[in-house]
Amino acid sequence: MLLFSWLLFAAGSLIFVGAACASWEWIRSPRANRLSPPRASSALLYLFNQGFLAPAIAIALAALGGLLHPDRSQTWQLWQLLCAFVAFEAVSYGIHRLLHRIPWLFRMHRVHHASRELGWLDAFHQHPLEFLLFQLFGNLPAVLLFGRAGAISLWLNVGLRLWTAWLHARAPIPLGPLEYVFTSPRMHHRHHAGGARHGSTETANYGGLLSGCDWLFGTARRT
Amino acid sequence: MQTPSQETADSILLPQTPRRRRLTVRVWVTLALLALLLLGGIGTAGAIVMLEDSDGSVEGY
Repeated sequence: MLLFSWLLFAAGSLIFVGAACASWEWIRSPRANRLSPPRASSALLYLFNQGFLAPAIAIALAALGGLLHPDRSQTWQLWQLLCAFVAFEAVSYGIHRLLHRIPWLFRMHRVHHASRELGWLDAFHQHPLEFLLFQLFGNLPAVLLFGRAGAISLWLNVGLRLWTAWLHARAPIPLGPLEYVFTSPRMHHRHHAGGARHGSTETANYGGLLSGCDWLFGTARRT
Repeated sequence: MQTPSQETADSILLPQTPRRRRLTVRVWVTLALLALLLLGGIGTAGAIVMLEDSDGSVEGY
């Protein structure tokens, strides 16, 4: 039953995010949308990662959180959720840079950069080991600090997924001055354009949703 | 089997010009995307409620 709930969560959020991003692509770039449909393998990778790996990671993290903080309430407060999000983004930035820098890690990350023409579903075209790295280490700081997350983190997760898919969607737009805080679709497309080869000096914009680490470490490019 | 007069009536009521055909496609695609949005939203919300009501061993990340 628990596995069914997780699979339903994975499939439901894929349909929701897909419909939202397909609408975006349909409105903004209808001709390109007709030319090349999204790859089915991305959807399969998504369902495997989110439907099977994510619950396994969640069980491990919940067990660890419960062990470290047995007396804590199971539902995070809003400020804890925000801290968890910022910590996740900071750790993800570090992992992402390592994935591009270390050759054997880049062989894994190349799967995500394989698409010639980027679309929303390519956001989820991730090697399972890479997914494990991001989810396990990205969520670890918050679990160590605050213990178990509540269901509220799942709502945040859907929001993050929606943003991530939009970053990869066709018709990428800039976000103006907001790009000093958030990674815009155009910034992320710039990352994919420059980061397809290992060690490329053109690689920039490693941030997932927040661009703060990119500005801090000099890897941000707005054009 | 349509009589010639019915065919004429249909073509007057719904002249399938390329422009109208494109419009029909857009309307159906938009409706399908909205239906998917609703379906996915209900599925996601239902799954989160089910996970919340589970024994508490797994409650997200």
